Amino acid sequence: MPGLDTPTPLPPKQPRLIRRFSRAQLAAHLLVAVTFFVMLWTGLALYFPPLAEIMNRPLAKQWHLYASVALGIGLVVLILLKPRDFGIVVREVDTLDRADREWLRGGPRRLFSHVGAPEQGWLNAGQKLNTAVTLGLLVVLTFTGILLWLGERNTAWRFTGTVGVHDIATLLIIILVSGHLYLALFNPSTRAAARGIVTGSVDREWAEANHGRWVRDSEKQDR
Amino acid sequence: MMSTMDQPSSHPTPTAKSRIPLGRAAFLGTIAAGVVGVAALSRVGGNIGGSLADLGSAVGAGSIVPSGGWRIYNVQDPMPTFDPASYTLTINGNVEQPVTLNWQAVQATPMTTEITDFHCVTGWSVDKVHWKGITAKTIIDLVKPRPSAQHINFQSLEQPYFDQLTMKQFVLPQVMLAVEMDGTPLTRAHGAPMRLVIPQMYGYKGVKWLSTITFEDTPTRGYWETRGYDEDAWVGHTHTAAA
Repeated sequence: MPGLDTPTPLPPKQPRLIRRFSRAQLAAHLLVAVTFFVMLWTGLALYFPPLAEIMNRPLAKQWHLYASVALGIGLVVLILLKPRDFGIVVREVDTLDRADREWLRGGPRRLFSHVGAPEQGWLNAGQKLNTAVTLGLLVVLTFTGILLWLGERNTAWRFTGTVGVHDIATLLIIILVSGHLYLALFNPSTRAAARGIVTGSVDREWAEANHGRWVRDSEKQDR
Repeated sequence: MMSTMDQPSSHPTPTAKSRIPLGRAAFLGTIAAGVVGVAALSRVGGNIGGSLADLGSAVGAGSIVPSGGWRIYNVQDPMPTFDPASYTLTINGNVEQPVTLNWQAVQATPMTTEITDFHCVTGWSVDKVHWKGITAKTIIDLVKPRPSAQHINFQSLEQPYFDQLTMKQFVLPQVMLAVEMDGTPLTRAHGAPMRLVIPQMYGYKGVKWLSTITFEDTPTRGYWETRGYDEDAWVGHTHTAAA
């Protein structure tokens, strides 16, 4: 009988890893991360006199300024080089779909367990909000930083609220980054994502469990 | 040719019907809050600072929480405590008539008032501060420094804090040894009983908890100057080279 001698074809073997981020996206994340920590450390040295004992003020100021300029120029260059890669991020972050709304309704427990979570796309609602608010805070820090820079040259640019808002934005971004690092490095149900932002690829099994709709849609497009 | 790693995986967006511009709202909302925050805090100024400062002190962060627009910095804890019975102000060095004044003698010295803006090197300012104190001219007339004594060292009770001015800087208008701020005696946090006020320079030159003034022939770099701060802390003209 035909077919008896023919082995049943196996489904094509799926690679263990699936690509989540492009090189340009990885570079942008690395740039934000490195410059953020340089600005945080030098900013603290400018802010807390006891830390000025460790790092002298002119040096801290130079590095604080250089890091902020490097971040701005670096991001612009990356966006100009790979506009499509960042257009994807903007569209994804800008979108709150039904799954996101369900995810948000689940509240903070979604951060620590994906049990019962609706199937997610490339980013979940928490990641979208984190990205949008972090970028917004970076703009606020840049705006108030420029005012502080101008205020050193002309006291007419010194406003009572500038330092306060710079401080509050710094505090908020420290809280966001701390939570981000905890989820990326320590939280069992989310730390597999850290591999993605370092190498660009994540474990397929983890992606299917946590971002199933993205995996399915990507594979549809690849066919 | 583009490598496979250059191509991000597909990230399909949901159908238009279910889309809400969440990211845009969060991003723009954060920026708007920042801009409005600068305007609002600048408008209400230090009026909201009191309770925040109390809270800050309670959690050990008193120095960074503004009170009345001020942030209090010190290099040694606890801050010096003023005791009117034992306090003395010593003025010595290369002078013809060195003196040591007790608190009663300090109070008996002629004083003047000035209204000046205070600028901190860390970026904040307090406008129109009312000071009352002893002018540089009064001090010079009192101790009669010799012509070669062109540098004046101000030592704080808060060891090891000190700073220095040149004679030209010391005799600038509105420079004084203040004992009152905004109509009340200096508080402990503001340097009681006496602090140097030089509105033309950033606040770190204004030594608080003043105990000794020494007229010298040669300059000495102050506490913060040895840690990278500018020796001449002119507001609007220094601390800009690096930034």
